[in-house]
Amino acid sequence: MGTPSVRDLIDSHYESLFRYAVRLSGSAADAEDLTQETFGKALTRLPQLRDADRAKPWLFRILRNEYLHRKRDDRRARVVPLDAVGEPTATLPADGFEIDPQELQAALAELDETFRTPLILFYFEDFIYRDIADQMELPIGTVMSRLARAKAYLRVKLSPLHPTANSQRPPEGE
Amino acid sequence: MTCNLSQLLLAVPPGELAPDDRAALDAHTRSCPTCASLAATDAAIRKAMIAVPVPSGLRDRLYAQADSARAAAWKRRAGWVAAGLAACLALGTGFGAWSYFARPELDADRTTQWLENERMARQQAVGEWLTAQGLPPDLPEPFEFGYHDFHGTGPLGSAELPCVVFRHDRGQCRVYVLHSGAVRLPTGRWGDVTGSEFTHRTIERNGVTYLIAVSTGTTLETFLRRTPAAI
Repeated sequence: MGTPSVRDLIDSHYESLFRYAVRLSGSAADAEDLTQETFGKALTRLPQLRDADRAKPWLFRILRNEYLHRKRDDRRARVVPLDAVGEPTATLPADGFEIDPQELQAALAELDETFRTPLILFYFEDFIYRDIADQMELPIGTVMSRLARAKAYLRVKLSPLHPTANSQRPPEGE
Repeated sequence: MTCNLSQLLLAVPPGELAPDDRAALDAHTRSCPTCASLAATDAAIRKAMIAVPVPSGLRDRLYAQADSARAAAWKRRAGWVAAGLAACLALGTGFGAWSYFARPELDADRTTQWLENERMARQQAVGEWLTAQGLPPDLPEPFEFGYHDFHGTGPLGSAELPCVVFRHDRGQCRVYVLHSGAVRLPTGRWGDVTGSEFTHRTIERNGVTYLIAVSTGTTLETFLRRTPAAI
């Protein structure tokens, strides 16, 4: 397959990139800036895209790098012991369970980016471990570990039946 | 399936799950409330994760941004060409001035000759390069080599072909040179990765096909050498 045009890339990926940017940054305005910046950079780097089938992870990676560049000086320092993260103790209803997207965003915002990114990419479905590891320039094992801890945190945090949901602290660091 | 295995599979990104594992996982969660609860939580998080309204008009704004960036890139290139020409002119003028004051005889043709030498040097370099590719040294039209931008192999569809590119601030002209019948030539208008569109025509000469592609908005004549008016 040949190199796609920028308009092809916009048509195919702008919605998922924007959603990713919202979940990453927590702000629709920042997300639109990030999406525009991503396509701006993609335009100048288009010859680097050798395989059109890899356009989506390529664009997601550009967007994440741009986000990290902007947030470079905004690193938070939280430390939570691993055993602070557990699984929900009660059984949740298997049907009709809804999560408020705003609550999800608030829970994501508490996570360090190193946990937030694999979590978002995991729930965007199309991404496999290799894609996530490539995005983050990490070994797959590290991605799996972070993902497991972040998912456990999120499940507890968002579980309506978990008594400590609101006091659950996020994981950070390796 | 055990709950341990089920929970391991739930941790795998859906895109990586084999169909058999998916079916086994679904069967298990139908009969196990604990795993069903975990699967339901995952499904609810996934649903909420992508529940982000996309602003109307975002696509149009991205289109406009891309168009504007392309225009700016062309303008920058044209600016470099203009700066180069200005530098040549300044150099030529300076040289002329130096000639005027340093020599007793006026030599007004020398700057013109110098520019002509530059053109000829470029034309000769292209000719030698084409010869090295096993192709005739001359192009089928009298191109103005003052507009020569670069030569080398360039992509045409899936093929990499010898190509000479001329650039003008209104667009560009690409001349692909290939042995006749070597590739299937494109038909109609075609575009490149920057979104530029080209019209093209072919010239056959001695078993060689010259595919001449010109940006829409300009014409081949723009890139041809004009006969100097009689003085």
